[in-house]
Amino acid sequence: MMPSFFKIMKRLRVAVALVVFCSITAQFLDIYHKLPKPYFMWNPTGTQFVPSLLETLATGSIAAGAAFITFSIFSLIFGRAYCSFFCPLGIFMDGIRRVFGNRKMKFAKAHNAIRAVFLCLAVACILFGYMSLLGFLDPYSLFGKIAGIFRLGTAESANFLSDVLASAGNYSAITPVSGSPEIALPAFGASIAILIAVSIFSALRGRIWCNTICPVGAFLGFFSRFSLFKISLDKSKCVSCGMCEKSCKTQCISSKNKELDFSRCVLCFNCASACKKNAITISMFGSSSEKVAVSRRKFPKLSLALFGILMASAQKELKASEEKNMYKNPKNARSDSRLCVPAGAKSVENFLDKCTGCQACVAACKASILKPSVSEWGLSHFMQPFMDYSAGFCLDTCHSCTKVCPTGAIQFMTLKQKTSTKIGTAMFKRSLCVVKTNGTDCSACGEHCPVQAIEMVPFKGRSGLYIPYVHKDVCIGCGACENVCPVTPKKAIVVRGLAVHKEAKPFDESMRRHKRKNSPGKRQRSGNPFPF
Amino acid sequence: MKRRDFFKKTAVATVAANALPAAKLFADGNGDKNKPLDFVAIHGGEASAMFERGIEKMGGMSRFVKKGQKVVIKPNIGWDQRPDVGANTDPGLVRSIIRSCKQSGASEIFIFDHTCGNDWNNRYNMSGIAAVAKDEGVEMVPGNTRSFYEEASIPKGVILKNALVHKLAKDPDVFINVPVLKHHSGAKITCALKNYMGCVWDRRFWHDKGLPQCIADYATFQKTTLTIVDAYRVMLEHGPRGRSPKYAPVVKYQIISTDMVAADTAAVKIFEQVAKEYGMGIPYPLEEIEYLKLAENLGVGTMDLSRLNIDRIEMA
Repeated sequence: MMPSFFKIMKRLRVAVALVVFCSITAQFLDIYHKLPKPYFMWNPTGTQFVPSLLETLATGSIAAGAAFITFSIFSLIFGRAYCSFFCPLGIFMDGIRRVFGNRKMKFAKAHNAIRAVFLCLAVACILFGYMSLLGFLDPYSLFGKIAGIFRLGTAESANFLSDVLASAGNYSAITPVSGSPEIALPAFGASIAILIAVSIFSALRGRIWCNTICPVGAFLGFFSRFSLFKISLDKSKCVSCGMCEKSCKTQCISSKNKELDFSRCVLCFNCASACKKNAITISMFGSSSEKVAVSRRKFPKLSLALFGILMASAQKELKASEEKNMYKNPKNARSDSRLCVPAGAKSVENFLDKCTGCQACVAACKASILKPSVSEWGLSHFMQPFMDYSAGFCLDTCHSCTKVCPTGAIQFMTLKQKTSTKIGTAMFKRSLCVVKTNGTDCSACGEHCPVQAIEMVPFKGRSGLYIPYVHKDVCIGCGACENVCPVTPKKAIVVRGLAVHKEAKPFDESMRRHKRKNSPGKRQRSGNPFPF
Repeated sequence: MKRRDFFKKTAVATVAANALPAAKLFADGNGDKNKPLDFVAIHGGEASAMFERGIEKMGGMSRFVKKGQKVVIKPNIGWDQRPDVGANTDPGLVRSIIRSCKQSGASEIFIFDHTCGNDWNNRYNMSGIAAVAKDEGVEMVPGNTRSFYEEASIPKGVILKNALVHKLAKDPDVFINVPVLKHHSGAKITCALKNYMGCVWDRRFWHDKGLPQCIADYATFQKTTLTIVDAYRVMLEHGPRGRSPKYAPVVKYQIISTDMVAADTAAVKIFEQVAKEYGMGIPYPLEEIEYLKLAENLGVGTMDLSRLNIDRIEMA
């Protein structure tokens, strides 16, 4: 009975893993923003362990912590189902391992001290709010960073192909993406480093990451140590043939000693499928591990090739970012360095305290203005996104980031709520404005303002000329004015982020500084329809 | 060339050159029936109905679009607003233009605009023009990607001597400008000439170096077969982005012209009259729309409507 049960479980594991992995990855690769973006509870990222814990802490909602609670309790009964069924990084690693030919494994000793250190580190990150660092430990956030590179690659490929097709006269087969998908080089480099590290680890040693560095693995492993039901080896049936040991990607089975370290088992059921003697069984009591040394192996050549490809694309990014900096250098362009956070964040503090930099919002941003930060928030917030108004402006037709954020750093808002939330204030520097310096019409800021916060009022220097005036209560801080302001190197209008968001006032005609002489009324038809 | 031939040809050319302004002089005023019209203003119908009447008066689309030609239509699709806000060109008018171009045997028809925001796709959709293009099997070409723009020199430009111009705007067979008439916080009124800001990549340069002069400069470069001004709705306030349909009353005007400057001149006068009629917005006098005079000086067209062969159609 047992083998068929395990085979079903293995198939179930693969099926669930594929569904979870594909649906999460699809959210990242949705470069044209065509997929529906379900709100938090129904979003595939809602199944993620650390984000759901953070969301619970952020909102106080038990429902938001469903994934965290379920997987914790589950590991006390059956073991670490999250790691094989739901963790996108783990599933990604399994994929890499498969690509590299499912290398045969040997039992290895557990690195329990290191596991404990990383778990403590992660807990400390949550307690003291070092979310950027947590984002480099949490498997989902790490996967998000990797998926971020794939998004970049997909978007750049789409742009390249559309350009090639356009040269051939076909403009609509593949269209370019909205906005620039570029991210800063250090953020790109960090993501590449993660991808390379994860690939090498998993190609050579399977799930060693999960049982050495991953704090979720350590946490759930600690629970599964006391699990009610455990997978173990039936010593009466086992002949120590080593089939299970070779197939175990966590290196937790010692065939020689007929033992399985269940705290490291990720419930992949490979061992049971490999066993010819039906010796893998579920018991109420597991066995403890024994120490066996493992010899080192050389890196496969393939990983070098992969490295080469990635370096080539890194070089392209470097070139692209250089080109971008030639055009505008945000450091020089912003006279006010205070940045905005998206409307759902409620405050800068809440945002930085909850965001693990998983890049879900970066992928979802229709304006392509959410970018992973390098030093914009300070290096301790590396890869937490910032709103890059040099790349575009926050659209009043989009609230995607509030839908996709799994950690509660950006909470859900309706479009109406979002467009009436004040996240910053436009600061106008009259002395820099082209209307004053050049004496010509401009109003680039005024024409883009979605909430009529910028009114063009008569300029005293010359008749017929109009200069911006900012209604500060009306301004929502979307950054449109800053983005389009033509003044270089320092913009004449920049958006200063609000530490705590406010409700914006809607524009009312009575607020006008430049009152109209005529007042609106019913149409008074003049005789001739053609005044020429 | 033989000397005799040379004299003959020179004589013919001289006569022809002298005859042209003379012909215009005679045609002065209202519609000489023997000469094709340069300008038609229509009032009182639906956008597509006004277009059909107007283009017929102009001698039909076949006067401008020959069989097998590639047609580029440049509407204003700058903003993520619904058609009734009046921020973008009316999709129904665009449909009629596409159909009449097809009937005249256009081989390919393209529509593009460099929208005022990264989300060009959404703007194409919200304007209703993407749906029309899809229905009619016409290509909507993206205008927000740097690689679709090519370097072009503008010899007559005063400030704007070089620009990155959209591939489709460079050397088209037929280029139809379909602006929407509306208030503009920077240019005061935006219509045909201003609509061409959607043909270039770097608009910041224009704003920085002098908007009116750059508008006029670019107009010297852009080949324009026909200008069709959509003034079915006229946004009188909160332009160019618009706020709500309240500020864009339905006034049912349209202008079809071979002369962009003339079309804009008439449009400004319509705007002035409508603003006065509704008591909304600022009825800018013609002199305040700086780029018109600058464009006329560069020879783009004329602000003097009496020099054109013009007709007015009242449909109401």
